[in-house]
Amino acid sequence: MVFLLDWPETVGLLFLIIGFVLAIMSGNAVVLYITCFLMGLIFGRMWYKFRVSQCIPLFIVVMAFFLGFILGGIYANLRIIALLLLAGILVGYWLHAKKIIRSL
Amino acid sequence: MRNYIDKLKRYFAFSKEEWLSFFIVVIGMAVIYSWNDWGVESFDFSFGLKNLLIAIVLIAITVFVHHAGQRMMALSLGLRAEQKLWWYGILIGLILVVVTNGKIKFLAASGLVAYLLPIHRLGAFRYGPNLTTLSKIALAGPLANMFFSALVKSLEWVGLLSPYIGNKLFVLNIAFAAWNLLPIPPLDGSKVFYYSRLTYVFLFGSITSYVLMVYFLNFYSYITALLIGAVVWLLYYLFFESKWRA
Repeated sequence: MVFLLDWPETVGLLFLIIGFVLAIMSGNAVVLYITCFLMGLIFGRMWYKFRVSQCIPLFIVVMAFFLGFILGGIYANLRIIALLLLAGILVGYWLHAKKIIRSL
Repeated sequence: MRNYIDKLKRYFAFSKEEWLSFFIVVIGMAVIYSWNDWGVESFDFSFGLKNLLIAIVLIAITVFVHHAGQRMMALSLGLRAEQKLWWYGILIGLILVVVTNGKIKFLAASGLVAYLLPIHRLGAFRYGPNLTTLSKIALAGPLANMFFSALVKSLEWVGLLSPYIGNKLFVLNIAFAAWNLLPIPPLDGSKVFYYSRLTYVFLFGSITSYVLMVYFLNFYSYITALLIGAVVWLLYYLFFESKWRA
């Protein structure tokens, strides 16, 4: 495995673990949904920043996070998690695309 | 001195974009800071709202002191400091506070960008901004918070400030300074870290030891904190830096 070529898989694995740990730590469904939406906002910013150069690695990372999150939050509603993550990504992207938020 | 006052008058004001960032940072950090204050035994909306409003005022003062310190230092060096929102920081703070139920309050959500003021930089050594200048400007923020916290505590001790507000503002300022000294870009600590690891270790040791002494021993002493920082610096030099440089 060459890290310079395969880094998206490594980062994806890291995000899978992060997603799993966050879901485990959330404890109840409401906290889980809030966390999911907030993570979506983070991915929205990432999507805006890397939309041209790194969209495939970003997709892998988001999918890995989603997998880890649903594994950790198996008790919660899968559809709501997916929708909130998607909504978070869209809102995060829109805030940056419309220049409402100019972040570092 | 007149030149410096003139620079303050011309360049100290916040731009519209900075006010928006400031507003978002203050609201986000106030939510994080007041997370555990929404009721004693059960959820109490009016109690929580009151605490949130207090937190907004306290955070606004703290963030302003931090930004003002950096702007004043930048102007003295012939640069203009601008504060930018750090979107990841504010969201990481919110996620941590939600997931840990208020046990970890990550209070760092803005970064510094310095712009050259060419006419005020004429004759300065190395015309453009470099790591030394950037680290000086970045460090001015946490130091301003530390000195402000000492001022607040002094005012509390002489009875000019209520202990409730004084204590909250004091803790908030030192916590804000400590979080901002983490070596994560774009936080202030990263700029000092890139400039000099030894300087960073000394400062981090001093400020962390001060925070720990205040929290656990109720002991307020800058001199002891600086001495501990010097010991940390020496240990770091002996066990790591000297080997890397050899």
